[in-house]
Amino acid sequence: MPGSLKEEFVKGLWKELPPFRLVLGLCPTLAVTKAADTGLGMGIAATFVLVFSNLIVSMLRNVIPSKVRIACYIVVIATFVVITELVMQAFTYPLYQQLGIFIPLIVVNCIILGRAEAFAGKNGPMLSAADGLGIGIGFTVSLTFLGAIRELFGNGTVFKQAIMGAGYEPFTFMVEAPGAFVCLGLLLGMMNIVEAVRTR
Amino acid sequence: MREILRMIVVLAIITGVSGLLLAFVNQGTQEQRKAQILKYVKGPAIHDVLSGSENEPLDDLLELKAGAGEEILTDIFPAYKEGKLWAVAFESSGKGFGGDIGVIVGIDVTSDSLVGIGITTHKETPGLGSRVEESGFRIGFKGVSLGQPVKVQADGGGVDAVSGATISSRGVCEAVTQAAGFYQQNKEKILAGLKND
Repeated sequence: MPGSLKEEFVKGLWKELPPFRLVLGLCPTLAVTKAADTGLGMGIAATFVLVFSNLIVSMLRNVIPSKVRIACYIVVIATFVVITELVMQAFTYPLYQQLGIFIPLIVVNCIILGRAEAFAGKNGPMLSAADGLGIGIGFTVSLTFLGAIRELFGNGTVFKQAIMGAGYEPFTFMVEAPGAFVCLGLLLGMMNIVEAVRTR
Repeated sequence: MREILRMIVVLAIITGVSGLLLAFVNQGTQEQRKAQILKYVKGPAIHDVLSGSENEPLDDLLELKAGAGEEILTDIFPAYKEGKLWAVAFESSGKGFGGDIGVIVGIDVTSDSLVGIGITTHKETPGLGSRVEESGFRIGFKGVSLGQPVKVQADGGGVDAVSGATISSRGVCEAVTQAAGFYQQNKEKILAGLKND
């Protein structure tokens, strides 16, 4: 049963935090978290798409026939992704170049289609927008955090600012694919421990 | 029957509205996107080709209307040395292996020879065709007179192609040949247009 506006928003920040607790959206997570700024950029783009697609899907939930609902959701999501892409090309071109193919791939990000199907298709617009915003912000924070850690150990910098001293030997494993998996796994495990302790 | 009709109508309306919205955003962002592409994609190649110029070529660009009915719009980027026009650069394209290769061609107006080339966009194979971006390949075009045909050695010309990427190399040569042709056809127009700026 959907709770209050505040409840639906807050759950995205811990209880249903992607990609660590709500294990969805792992592919872009692994790919864009080589640095903190690309993680942040991707998070903001995905949040924009998530909030507006949730809003529109929710407003149309009684109009869309059940049999074609996935097709309709995808059209709505894809429209907002293309809008995001065009806006990024127009105002943040270097970020667009860095994120590359992962911007159009937001369309098939499981988080967005998942929330449309699981929540927005069954609840009112305000609640759906809150759900989208909460999960989107949670996703953004997760991506930025993971990106910052990988960038810090793999490059000695965070947001391109040198943090480790000049003599730091970069642990390049962290910015490669295997390092992404290991980092993600460790963080996921730690969050599971925290949750287990919290609810004991 | 009524169910199918409803599905069709709803899908049609949703896709129709989406299309309209996207067309609107596309129009609205067109100017900005063109400026950003100029700055981040073409800019680096232009600066590389016209290095040594005293001015900022991107600021002095001339929008040239060429062709029979003055329909083709090409951006010409001029470079000045010692107060006089030294070279112009503009974008051309040739058919590569994976699609069109965008090439910035720089031409010395005093000697009608190539100043150099730069690659802007391509869809060539990474590690093979993409190596046309490397300076080792591009340096082969420096100083080449426009009177000579620009071809790879396999086709009887003087350009040293990238090993294993003849088609990509040919595409770049095609782009340069096209650029040379365009320049020779429109030289007076270009020089006149820049004089008036």
